[in-house]
Amino acid sequence: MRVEPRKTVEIDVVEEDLFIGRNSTIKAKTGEIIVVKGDVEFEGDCNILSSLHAKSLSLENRGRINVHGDLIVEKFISLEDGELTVSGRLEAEDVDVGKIVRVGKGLKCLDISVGGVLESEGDVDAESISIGGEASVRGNVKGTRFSVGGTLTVEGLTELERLDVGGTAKINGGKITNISVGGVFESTGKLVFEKLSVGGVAKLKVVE
Amino acid sequence: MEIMKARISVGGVLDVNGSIEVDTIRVGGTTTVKGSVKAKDVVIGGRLKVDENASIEAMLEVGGVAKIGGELKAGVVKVGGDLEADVCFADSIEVGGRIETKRGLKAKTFKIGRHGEVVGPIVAENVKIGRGASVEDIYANWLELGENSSARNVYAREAYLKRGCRVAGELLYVDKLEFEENVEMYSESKKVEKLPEPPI
Repeated sequence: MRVEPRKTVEIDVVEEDLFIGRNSTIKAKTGEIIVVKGDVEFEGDCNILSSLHAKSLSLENRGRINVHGDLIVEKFISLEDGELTVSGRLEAEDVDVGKIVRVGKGLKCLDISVGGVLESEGDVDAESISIGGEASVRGNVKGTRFSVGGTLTVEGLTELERLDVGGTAKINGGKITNISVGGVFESTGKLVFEKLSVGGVAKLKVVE
Repeated sequence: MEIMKARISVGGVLDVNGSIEVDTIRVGGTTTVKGSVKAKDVVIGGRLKVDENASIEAMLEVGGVAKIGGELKAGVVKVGGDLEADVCFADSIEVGGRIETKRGLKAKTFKIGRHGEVVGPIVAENVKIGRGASVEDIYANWLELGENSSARNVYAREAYLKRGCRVAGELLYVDKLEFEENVEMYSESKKVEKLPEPPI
């Protein structure tokens, strides 16, 4: 199925692949969810005014994809030169976004790689998280490895095997086996770890 | 305690708001602990400040100044600059600058560097006071007072006083006393059967 550029289209279920032209809007015809059983390919910017379930998501050019609801993807999300904003939950096996990912209600995936910024208002649950610039999580973080080039802020608890941050990391306690921070590391809550390596300043709060 | 068997390595500043129990702490600059420290090894390049007790199983090495608000217990203590503690117990203590304890320090071997200063009693099996250093009371099995150093009271089984030393109080020894020229003793040295009990 194909949605022409700059059109607004109502969709319920698509049994095949869906190609969406630039600057288009799609929304659910009935209910609140659009289901695409094949792959979704965006030409450019797109507003999705419902939740979207799909097999995979990809972006051909530069663009901003806004999902007003949940985004549940069976396989991968590949927006190499794009931004992704999801007001609800984001679930996928593999997420690769070049610029920004904003998530309103939490993120669950195996691997996520974001070139610029990750903002999550909820929990983040991923095996491997790699963020080039800045990551901020208002909920809890659970995973194996979290790597941030610049700054990391976590307001909830952090549970990881390895945390690598190039610049500054501020967390609110948790359990992290290995921590490596190039600049400043601060834990404002109870923290359990085995190895902490910080290039600059480390501030720890220990609750007895 | 929440940090167990952990290894901490910090290039600059480590600030701990509470007590910690760790395997090792290595910090290039300054470490502040607003609580107590229990560790196997602590190596600080600059300054260490611990508000309460510090118990270091193997080695405490501080390049600059170490201030321990409570009791310091350690295997080996090496401080390049100054050491302050309520009381200090260790196998070996070696300090380059000044040591101040309220209740004293007790070790198998004790060494203060040239022109160093010790405030508080020294109780050790072997004591070596550097040239020009100034100390208060010494309780030792074996003592060497370096050139031009000064002590208040000296209680030692064997004592060697190098040239220009001064002992302002009493000097009691059990087995042997040797001294070089220009040693000043403000009271006559006495050979005794038993030395007085040390304060710690």
